[in-house]
Amino acid sequence: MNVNCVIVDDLKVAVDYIRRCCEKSSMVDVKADFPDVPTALEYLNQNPVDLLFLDVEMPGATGFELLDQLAYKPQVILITSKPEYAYNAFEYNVTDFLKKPFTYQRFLEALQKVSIQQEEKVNSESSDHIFIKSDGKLIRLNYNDILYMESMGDYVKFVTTEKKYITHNTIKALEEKVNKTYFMKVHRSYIINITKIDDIRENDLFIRGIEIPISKAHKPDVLKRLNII
Amino acid sequence: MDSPSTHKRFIFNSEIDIDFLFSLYENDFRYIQEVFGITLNQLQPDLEQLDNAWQLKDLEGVRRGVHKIKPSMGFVGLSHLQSKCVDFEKLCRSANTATEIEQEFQHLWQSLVKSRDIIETEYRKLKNHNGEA
Repeated sequence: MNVNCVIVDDLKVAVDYIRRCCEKSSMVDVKADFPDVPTALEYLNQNPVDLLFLDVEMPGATGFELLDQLAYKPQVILITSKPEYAYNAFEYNVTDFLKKPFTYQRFLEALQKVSIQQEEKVNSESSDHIFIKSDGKLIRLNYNDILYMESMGDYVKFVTTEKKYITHNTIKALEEKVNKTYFMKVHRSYIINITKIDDIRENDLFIRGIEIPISKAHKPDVLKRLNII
Repeated sequence: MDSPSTHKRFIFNSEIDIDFLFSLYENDFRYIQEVFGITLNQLQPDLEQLDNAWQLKDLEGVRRGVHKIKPSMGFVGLSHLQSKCVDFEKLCRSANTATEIEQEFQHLWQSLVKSRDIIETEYRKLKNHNGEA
C-alpha cells in the first residue's frame, strides 16, 4: 500500500511522532501538517489526499467540522480517546482511532485497516453486486436489481425490483462503498441507481413511479452526471 | 543486560514510566531528546493559557487547557499525570462552576508545574548524554 496523507493536530509533538511513524512504515507519504481546521481545509480542497490523521478538539473548529466541509471523503484515522466520538465516527466512516501517545505497533494496526478499506474500495468499483446484512442473513444484491437506497436514521432501506431490505448502516458510509458507475447520492437521505431513473422534474426524480427528492446541494452534481443540458 | 532505566549510564527521573517511554521510542535517545524539547517548548505557553483560564474561572477554558496538555504528558512518559488529566477533565464536565473544583485544580496545577521542571531537567540530561550540552 502507498497512500498520501495530511496530519491535522495542534500538538506539535504528536505531529512529529506521526510523521516519524509514517516514514518508518514506508507506506504513507505525509504531504503536509496543519494545526487547525481552516488552514487544513484550504489545502485539502485543493490537494486531495487518501488519508487524514485528524485530531478532534482543536482551536476553533473540530475535526468533524473539517470533514463536513471537505469536498471529498478520504479515509480518516481519528486521534482521540473519547468513546463519545465513536458514534460520530460511524457517521463519518472513520477507519480507526488512535489515542495519543500510541505505539508504533498500534499505528501499523491502523494502517492495516486503511489498507483493507483501500482494497474494498477498489473491489467495489469493479464489482456488480453488494452483500448486505438484513434479518440476520447475508444477502447478495445485484446492482442491476437495486432501485435506490433510503436513509432511516441508523438504518438504510434497500429498495430492489422485488423486495425491500433494511440494514444497519448509513447513507454516508454506503456512498463510499457502492459502485459509482451505477449509484449516485441525490439527497442526504437517498442514493439512487442512475440506470433506473424514469424521469426527472425540477427538484425530483422518479424511479418506478416513486418520487425521490434532489437536494439543492446535490443538484449541480446530478445535472452534470446525467449530462442534462 | 542493562535495565532500560540505566541504558548507557542514563538514569531517567523515577516519575517517568520507562517501559512506556521505550515502547514508543525504543532506544533512540536523540529522538527522545527531541520529544522532550518539543514538549517543553509547548508546555510553557499551554500552562500560561491554563492559568489564564483559571484566573477567569472559565470552566470550559480550563477543561480545554488540560485536554491540550494531557497527551504531552504521555509522550514524555509521565503516564500517571496523563491519567490525572483525564480524571480532571471528567470532573470539569460534571461541575457547574470552576470554584467547585478549586482543590482538584490546585493539586493538578502543582503536578503540572512539577512536571515542567522534570521535563526540563531530563531534557538537559539528554542533551548532555547525546553530547550536545
